[in-house]
Amino acid sequence: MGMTPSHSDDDLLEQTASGDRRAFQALMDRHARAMLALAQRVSGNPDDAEELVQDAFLKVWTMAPKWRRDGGAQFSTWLYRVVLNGCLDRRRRPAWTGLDDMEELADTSPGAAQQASRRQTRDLILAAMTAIPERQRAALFLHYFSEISAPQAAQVLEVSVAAMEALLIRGKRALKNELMRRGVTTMGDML
Amino acid sequence: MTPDGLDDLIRTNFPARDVGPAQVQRVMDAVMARLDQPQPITFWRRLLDLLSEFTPPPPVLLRQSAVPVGLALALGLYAGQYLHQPTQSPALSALLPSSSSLLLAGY
Repeated sequence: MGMTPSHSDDDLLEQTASGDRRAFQALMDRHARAMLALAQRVSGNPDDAEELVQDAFLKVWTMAPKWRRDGGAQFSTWLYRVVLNGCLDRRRRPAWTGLDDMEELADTSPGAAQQASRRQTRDLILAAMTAIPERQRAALFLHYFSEISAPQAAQVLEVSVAAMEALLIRGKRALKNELMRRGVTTMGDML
Repeated sequence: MTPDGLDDLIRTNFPARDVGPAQVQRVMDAVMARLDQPQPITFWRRLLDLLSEFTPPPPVLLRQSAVPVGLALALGLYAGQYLHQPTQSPALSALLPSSSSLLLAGY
């Protein structure tokens, strides 16, 4: 059976549940780009992002038979949640200096210093983000790094739109304070 | 730092990265390849499987009575808490011998 855009995610999931690999591929084709975009911005590493998205889709394959069409949840929001939680879990692990970092340290080319500085800035912002409460952090990640609307982001976090907005306001305030605590008071400090 | 400043700071340092079709295809191919790989069996899973092979299934009567017996046990434990006598106070302990002992009562 051909997979047309008229097939809903639920249709494709139903076919995936019966072992239809073409339906599963169509489902991945529909969502992989957005998931990679989110994972890449949060993790900051294309390899990590690819691994996270692979794990999320393998989870889709295993949970497809249990998916309930009338369960009220939208597949895309569920998938965003899985990828986002995967990114947050990975960030909780102890810091690790990857091969890229080692090469960067050894590099003496003119642009290398600027790249290293950019990476340090990113690490500083992510460290500040890690220090704020988890729900606020998740709201900020979705707000800044995903391509979804505010109501969809609220669905991902299973809160109302008003609660999502409140989380964002509190999250931004907490992040600002955390950055100031680390000595960043203006944009100029970071550029 | 203003809220706008924070937005600029994050958007400057975390620019949207283009996700190309080649990267999407690579991820999809990797997922399809992993579908065919046998799932890794952990040590504990293997141990449980081994034990379950050697463990005989419980008799039918035991299986049928497991739920009512469990419920009765839980009810008994719950009700038993209220049957426990509180410890007598020291004043009462001192009073009891004086009024209950034949010697102390003068008989």
